[in-house]
Amino acid sequence: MQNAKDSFYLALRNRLVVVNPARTMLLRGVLRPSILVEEAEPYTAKALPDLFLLRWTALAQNQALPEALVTLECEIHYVTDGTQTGGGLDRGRMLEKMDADLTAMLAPPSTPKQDSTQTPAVVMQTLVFWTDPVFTASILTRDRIGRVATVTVYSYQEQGEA
Amino acid sequence: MPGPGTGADSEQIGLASGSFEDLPLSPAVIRKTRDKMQEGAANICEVLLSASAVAAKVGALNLDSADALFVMATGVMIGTKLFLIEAVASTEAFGQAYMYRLQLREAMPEAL
Repeated sequence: MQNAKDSFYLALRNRLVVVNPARTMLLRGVLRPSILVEEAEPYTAKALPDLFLLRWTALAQNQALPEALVTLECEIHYVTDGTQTGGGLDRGRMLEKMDADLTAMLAPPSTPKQDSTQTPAVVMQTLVFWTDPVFTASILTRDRIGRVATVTVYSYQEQGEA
Repeated sequence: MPGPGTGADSEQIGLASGSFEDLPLSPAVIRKTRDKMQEGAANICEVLLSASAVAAKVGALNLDSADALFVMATGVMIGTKLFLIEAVASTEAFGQAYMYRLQLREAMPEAL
């Protein structure tokens, strides 16, 4: 199932480059698209604004099928405090822009599964596919506004896949 | 502190952890804020840091602010123990920070 998680993240990251090339962040000295996997980055006390944070939560497996179907739940957290030039008064508009970027990144709702443990990454035989996002109501924390979108990601376990 | 990344996919998906480097900060004062009350509970402490020492590191790393430094930090080593940064606050005089206060929690596995 790690391949499914990796493929989902890499697909969203590559799509973000197309959807909004200006949405970048400087993390660990590298300028990259503003999306990260929480469990693969250092712990931070404060939620970083203007980026998409992927948090993997629930896991289920259906073994009754010829190939086991893995169901993973992914929460996508994002917050913004608006722009400095706008004095933060545009934070509602910035959140709406992030909603739109995320919706565009999640379409189409599938991507080829790949094994990133090999160099170069090897494209596998099945697809990773997911549901439409379910958005929470906006969450206000002082001068910040954010939201969580939840997506259920599906993947068939291929033979020999860990 | 995490060392500079390479931008490789493997680093972004947790396959390669990259390098880490120590960033000594002094002077510092460590205050224990809560005694260990129960078996297995994490130690919590507070560290007071000189703002000029922090500013020197911020400048050396070409960062925008002390906030950026603390966000990038993986944790704080006190002796041989790793502590995670839970919260950061600064104390100012005439609009200038002269001290940073970090609330730290010992990094240890927690029971579910």
